[in-house]
Amino acid sequence: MIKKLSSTLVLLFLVSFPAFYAQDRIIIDIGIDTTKWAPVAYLSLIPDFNHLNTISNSQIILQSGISKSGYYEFSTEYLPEEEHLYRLHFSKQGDSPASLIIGGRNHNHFFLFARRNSTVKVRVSQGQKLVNNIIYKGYKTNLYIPYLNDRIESVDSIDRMGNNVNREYALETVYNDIKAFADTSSYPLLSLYALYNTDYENDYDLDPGFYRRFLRKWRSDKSLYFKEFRKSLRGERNTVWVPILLFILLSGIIILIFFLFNNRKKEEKKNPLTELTIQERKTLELMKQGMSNQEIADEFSVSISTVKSHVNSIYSKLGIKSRKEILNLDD
Amino acid sequence: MKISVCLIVLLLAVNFNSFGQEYIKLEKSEILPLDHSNKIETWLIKVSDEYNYFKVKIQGQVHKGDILVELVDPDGELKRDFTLKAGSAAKEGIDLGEKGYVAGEMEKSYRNPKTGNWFVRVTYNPESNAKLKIYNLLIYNPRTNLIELEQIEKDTDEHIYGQL
Repeated sequence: MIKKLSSTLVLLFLVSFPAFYAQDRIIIDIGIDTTKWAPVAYLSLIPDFNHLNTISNSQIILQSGISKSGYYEFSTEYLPEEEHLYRLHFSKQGDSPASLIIGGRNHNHFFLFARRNSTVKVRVSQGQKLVNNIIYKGYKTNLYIPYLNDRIESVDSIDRMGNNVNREYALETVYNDIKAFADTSSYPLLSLYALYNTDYENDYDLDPGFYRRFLRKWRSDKSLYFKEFRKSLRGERNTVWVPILLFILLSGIIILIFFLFNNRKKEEKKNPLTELTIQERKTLELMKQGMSNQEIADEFSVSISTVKSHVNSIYSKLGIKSRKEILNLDD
Repeated sequence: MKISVCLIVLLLAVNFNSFGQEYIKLEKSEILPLDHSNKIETWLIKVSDEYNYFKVKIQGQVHKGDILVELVDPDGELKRDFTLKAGSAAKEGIDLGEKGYVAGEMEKSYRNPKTGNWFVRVTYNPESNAKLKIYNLLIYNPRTNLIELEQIEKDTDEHIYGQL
């Protein structure tokens, strides 16, 4: 009996274990001074990467207070099914909940990727800086965010500490690092998020091949994130290439029409038979058959002088002088 | 001999004095309300080569409409931006309190900043009801190290900056 029960339990465990771990679990550790910050966290859906630095009331889709176990937890059963980018932010005590602070010691938000039924848990500890040393666990796409954040933050550090001589070189190195990450990442949204943190619009002019390859790699991704990215690059291309392409296309059409018209004229000139009248053509046919002028006159019931006139006209139009030459003519 | 010693002492004194030289220029602009005859407003911040540290901080509050705030360097390159959109209703179940406005803040600092005219550009729609504060801190002290800078920033944050 006990043996049966234990084997059932083991079976149940084996069945439920993979299901439990297949769930997207997102656990983030942050440091927060609750004397300075309101004890509520807000989760906003970022519809596309152009809105990374935008805040509005309608963007905020979930909120959470700290649970007894020291977590902010979000119920995510109503999130979109596909993976999206979310922003989690805190507001200062007494400030509006819809507030966004970018840069400096009070930088009040961070980003994460999630989808429907992802378990989003934020573990709170006391810290000097709100968004400092965030550790992502679980959901794979998020595991690379700290790597990217390090590089994104280093852009600020370069500005804060560098000088004009080495700043440009250092920035280029960081952007190349981020670009290489985007190139090799197997997570489409994460790689796109990486590119949005470079000066990709300027870089597109220098290295359009990279962006064409990148978009080819993720051509199956029809999300708004990629749609907006394609649009922004197309916009760049439009401004430069569309007038040039239109000019080339129009010139091509004009040249084509000119050649067609010219060829047709030449063809018509090449074939003098087309200049003959119907009566002359009929006469020519009978001449080819070896009929005399009289026979042709009889065949058409016309006078011999009319036939002679046709024959003279044929000779002049075809540039020939005898009936022998008529026999050598091509149809 | 005496004269040259005096000269050396004098030179050293001048030198040491210049090492200790430090000046801080802090400007605060309050923009309230926005001039609705325009759709874009810009504020210039002149950064001359005498300063080796520059920090700008912009705080905004929007009660109605939306605004885009951008920081642009002397070469016309966008360095940082944020957009605040007010007026849209919060989702069901979200308690955004009684404040009702949307707030934003951004800051950026540079050691050896590009010299010339930096500017803050604000783009808004005519219905916008918003207020803005722009602070810029310029420091000249070639000797200031990062720890000292952190302290200066902390002091200005705590004593001069405030909520809108």
